Amino acid sequence: MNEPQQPKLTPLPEWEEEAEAMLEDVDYDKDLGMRMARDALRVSNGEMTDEEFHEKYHEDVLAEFGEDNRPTKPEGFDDE
Amino acid sequence: MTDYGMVIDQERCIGCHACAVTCKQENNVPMGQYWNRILTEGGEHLDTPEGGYPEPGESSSLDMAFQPTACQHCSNAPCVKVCPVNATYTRDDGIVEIDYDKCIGCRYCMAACPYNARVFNWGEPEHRPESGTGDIESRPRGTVEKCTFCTHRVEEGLDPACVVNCPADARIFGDFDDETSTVSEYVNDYDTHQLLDDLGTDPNTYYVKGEMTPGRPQKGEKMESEYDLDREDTTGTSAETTNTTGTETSAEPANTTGTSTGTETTNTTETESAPAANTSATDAAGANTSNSLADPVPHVPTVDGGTS
Amino acid sequence: MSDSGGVGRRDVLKAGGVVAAAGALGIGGSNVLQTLTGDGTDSGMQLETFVGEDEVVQTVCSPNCRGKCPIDVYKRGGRIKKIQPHVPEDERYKRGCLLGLTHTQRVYDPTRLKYPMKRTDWSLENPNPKGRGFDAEFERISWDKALSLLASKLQTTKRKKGAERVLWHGGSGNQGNLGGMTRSRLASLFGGVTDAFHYGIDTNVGQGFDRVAGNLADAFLPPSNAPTDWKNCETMIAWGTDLFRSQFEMDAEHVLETIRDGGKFVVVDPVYTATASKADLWLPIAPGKDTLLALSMMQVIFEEGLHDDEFLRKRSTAPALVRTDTGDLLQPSDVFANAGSGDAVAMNTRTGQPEQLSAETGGPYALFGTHKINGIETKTALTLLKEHVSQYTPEATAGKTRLSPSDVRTAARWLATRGPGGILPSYGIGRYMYGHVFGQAYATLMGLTGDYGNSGNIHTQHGNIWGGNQELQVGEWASPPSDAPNPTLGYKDDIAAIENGRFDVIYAMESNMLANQFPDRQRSIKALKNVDMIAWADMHHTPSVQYSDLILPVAHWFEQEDIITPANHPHITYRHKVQEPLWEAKSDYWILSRLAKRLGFGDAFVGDAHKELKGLVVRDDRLDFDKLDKQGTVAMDYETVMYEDEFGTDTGRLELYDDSGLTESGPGLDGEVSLELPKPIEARTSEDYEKADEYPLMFMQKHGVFRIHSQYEMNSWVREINTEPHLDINPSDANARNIADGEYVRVHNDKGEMVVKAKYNDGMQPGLINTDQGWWNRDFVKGHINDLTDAEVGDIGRTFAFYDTRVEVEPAPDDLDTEGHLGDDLVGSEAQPSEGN
Repeated sequence: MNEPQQPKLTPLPEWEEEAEAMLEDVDYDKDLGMRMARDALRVSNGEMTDEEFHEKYHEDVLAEFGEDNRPTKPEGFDDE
Repeated sequence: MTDYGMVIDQERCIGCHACAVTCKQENNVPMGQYWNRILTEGGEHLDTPEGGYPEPGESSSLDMAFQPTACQHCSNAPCVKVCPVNATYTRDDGIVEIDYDKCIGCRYCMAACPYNARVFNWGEPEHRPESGTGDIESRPRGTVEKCTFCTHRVEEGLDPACVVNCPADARIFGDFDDETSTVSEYVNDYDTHQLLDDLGTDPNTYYVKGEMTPGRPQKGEKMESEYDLDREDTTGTSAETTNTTGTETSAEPANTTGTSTGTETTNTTETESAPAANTSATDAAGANTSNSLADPVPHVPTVDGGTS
Repeated sequence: MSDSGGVGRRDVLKAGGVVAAAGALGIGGSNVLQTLTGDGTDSGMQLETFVGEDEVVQTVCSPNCRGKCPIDVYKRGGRIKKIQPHVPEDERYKRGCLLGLTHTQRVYDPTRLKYPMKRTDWSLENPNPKGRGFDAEFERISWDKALSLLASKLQTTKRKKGAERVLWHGGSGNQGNLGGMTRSRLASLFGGVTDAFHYGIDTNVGQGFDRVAGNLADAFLPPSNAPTDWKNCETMIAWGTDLFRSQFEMDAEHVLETIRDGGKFVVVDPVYTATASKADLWLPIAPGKDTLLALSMMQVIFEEGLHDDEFLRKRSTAPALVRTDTGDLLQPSDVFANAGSGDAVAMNTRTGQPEQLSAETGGPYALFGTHKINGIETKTALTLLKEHVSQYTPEATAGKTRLSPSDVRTAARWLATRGPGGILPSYGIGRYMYGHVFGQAYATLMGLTGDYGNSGNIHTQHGNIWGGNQELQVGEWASPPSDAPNPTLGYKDDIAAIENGRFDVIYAMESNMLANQFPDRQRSIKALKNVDMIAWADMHHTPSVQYSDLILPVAHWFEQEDIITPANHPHITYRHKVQEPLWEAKSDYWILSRLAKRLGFGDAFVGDAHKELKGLVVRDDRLDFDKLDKQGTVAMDYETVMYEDEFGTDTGRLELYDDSGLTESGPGLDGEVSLELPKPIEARTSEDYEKADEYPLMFMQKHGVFRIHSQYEMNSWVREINTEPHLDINPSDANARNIADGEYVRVHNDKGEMVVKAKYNDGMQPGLINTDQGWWNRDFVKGHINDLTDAEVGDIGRTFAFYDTRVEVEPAPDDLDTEGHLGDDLVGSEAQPSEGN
């Protein structure tokens, strides 16, 4: 049924499916987007620090986007 | 510091969609997208309850509520963390915003938002009417967009459009860093919750369920803090100058001509009429008439009118 | 950052804690939103913003919802950009709903009529009525040509056959005063028949209420305390109304305040609605059983001795003696030698003597008992009422009402014992054939509980400020004295009159009734073949416009200056012109005053709306034109509490017993039913209705938040949410018919059919289905909602009984093409709005 106005707040397992759908046809690395989204939520609830998150994806982000301007960059982090 | 946020009283919300539509109008949101949607908490469809219809002679156990849902403006926003180009960011005043010039359309932020609050401009944004609506320019194709708490209004001292236009007074906007603000009071005094609060995102949007709040009766479009300032500006005479119904409000009507030429009046909003910082008490009283004068005490509705 | 350098806290707050950009100082400069990122670097975002740049014109939203919301229209570059509620003089009534906010779209909608047009195969000589229909084609003509054709046909008809063969049809599509008054004035001068709501639509419940509480001059619904008083209501029973979703959402805060202050909110509705979701107690009544419930509540009040004796003695006919031989009230002339007529007689228990009752006078009157006076056997009216309701215990009626007896008792006790309260119906119950008896019943019930004349009482969903006196008081302007006053048809008589060939010409305005909103739509469409010329003046190309011969494009409300009188808020409001009419549209006043000139009544109108309004307002001594024009909204005096004075009945009292001999013998009834006391009569909702087995489902067409009647159907923001007509159906009814959720279904009865999409809804009572009203024919895959309804009316209500409709539902045929209906296109990209000139 076409009900654009009745989305759900989805529990996380189903959220993954929705997130994947959002990244369908994206011009960038879909898998990277999914992994980063998952870990960004871990950062939010304290399972991972900003620093860990930044370092974990820094190279991939640089490779994919040619830059990494995420605000999670730790003090003194070596950009290169 | 300032930490803007919103309280939405679901006991007051009647699910009428006025906030959804006015958001779309004010922010020039393209067809096919809504930044602010009214979810039904109940059945599978809009405006349907959960539970079974009571059998004859039985009392009801059906249940339904409405949950207006837009960007939650998380203090700990996962969308901000994943943006490789820092296009989505948290302002110093707590509002999560998107820099549309920087946005490259990778949609990682959409994937990372557990509230499904963001929309993507797949094609050239289409507007009805074509030339667009509201008080802000359209965003370009290929960008992600979402609720901004109407920053373009907030920076002019005006409440977000959804707050101004709620006929149930169910939406309250304000500063959580100001402990006297209505939003702070309601979060302290009422049973509020944040959506998906176990995720640690710490939204700046709180929902009231349980006891109904007085909401914030909207008598104008100015932010609550503006009224507080009005009061400060008129020290000693606030009782006379800050409020009431009647003649003051009408002293400067929105339209002064009424002739059939149809062109006419300019906006008489606060921004144009009040370089107010050093205004004297008398002047401030005059300036106040330039717009409707809300009850500066938001949770005490003005109910005793002069009419009888 | 305190007060140094002229930059105070205000400025900092405005900047939202971000280092100030130009806009933050609030004094002009760049309007580009230049925010800085958290780390202080310039983000460079360059979205242009326009706050404070727009011209703002105050005007009024004017559909027939009674909201009459003053609004501000924001314009920029000659274009309307947005709408916001205007704060009126009495700011407690600031108001607006999602529909009013969306005129930004409606003004420019592609359905707006742009030019006068004529059906290509219509001519004065050969009207060819068979050429009408949904594939009829039209050609653009000039205003001069359109008015000339119209005037010519009107003159010829009047000369050859008489002016009474002209019907001046008007609906409620514009709540300005000027258009309707101009129609009435021209019809009076030229001659012809006009039509009106009395009787036909929504004038049912109010009539029953009036029989008890007096003639209140408004057959729609009775007056009630003002919304600002409602917070004092201790028990509020919303009966048959989804008030948070229909007609009343702009006043929602007043009901919410009642709830917040601890008032008990009871909702009586067969559907679990948004309003029911806010209730302390929801009574899921079976359709059409409302009178039965009111009788049960009265029974509880008697059984438990909860009636308000003081009120009953002083302000009602409860103690009035009724002759057991004739059933008439004992007259003073039956008892006293020199008595006048008209009043009633009661027994004074202190003196043991009968006494003439006068209004507003208490006394030790016997409320109950049998009294023999001058040899005449009598009983008090209250005794008769008590005896009448004794059979309707909540347990006895539960089989029909479906209600829990304990819930019924709770509702009755709350109303009777918690202090001032009341019942607010809207028009829903009047859409059953005998809704007027419910009006009689709830007026009587509120008499038992003494809920009249107190702060905290409530009698209807309307504030009805100014009572029934809501029009401009302009003397005889709208109906000049005439030797042969125009006949007026109730809407209920329109169809039969047209069918019987009574009219050669129909001039229609502010209406989408004949081909969309009237019940038994196929019948009224068919009847139109008897008419030579149908001229239709409207803002949009509605289904009814499509069914006409001459199309007259009417300006949007924002393009027509007018005055809007109070309804649910106390302001009289100037509807300022926001812009000149787009394309070649004209106001109804312009059209009719120009037509008048061609008909020889040019002197009767000034010709300029502003000047005409000014002249009219002078006639109404409540108003000051210049103040109104300048100020926009002027709050008028009104009574916050109603029913404080003598009732408008013969006795001046609330009449709990009606000895006028009124009977009902309409459809579905077995002979005449006398209505001294409210009796639970029903038409098609009855289990014994002859076609109840064939068509087991009751079909409601609820008013929802997305329409005012059929207005706003075209609005694409609304249609993104409210995509197409649905059939709300309980899953159990759907499963029994093999209907899947979201599947197209065929709804049918002996009148017709419609095909819409099924929507499982557990809030629907089994046996009851609903499609919200107000859709146009183009929105249905097949058929139409009003192809299922019947135009039959009862004797007293004389009102279309839209909800008294029975149907059956089945899955739509597999081979039905469900793709192409126009409702889809509305929200797609095909419908390109034509903007401006």
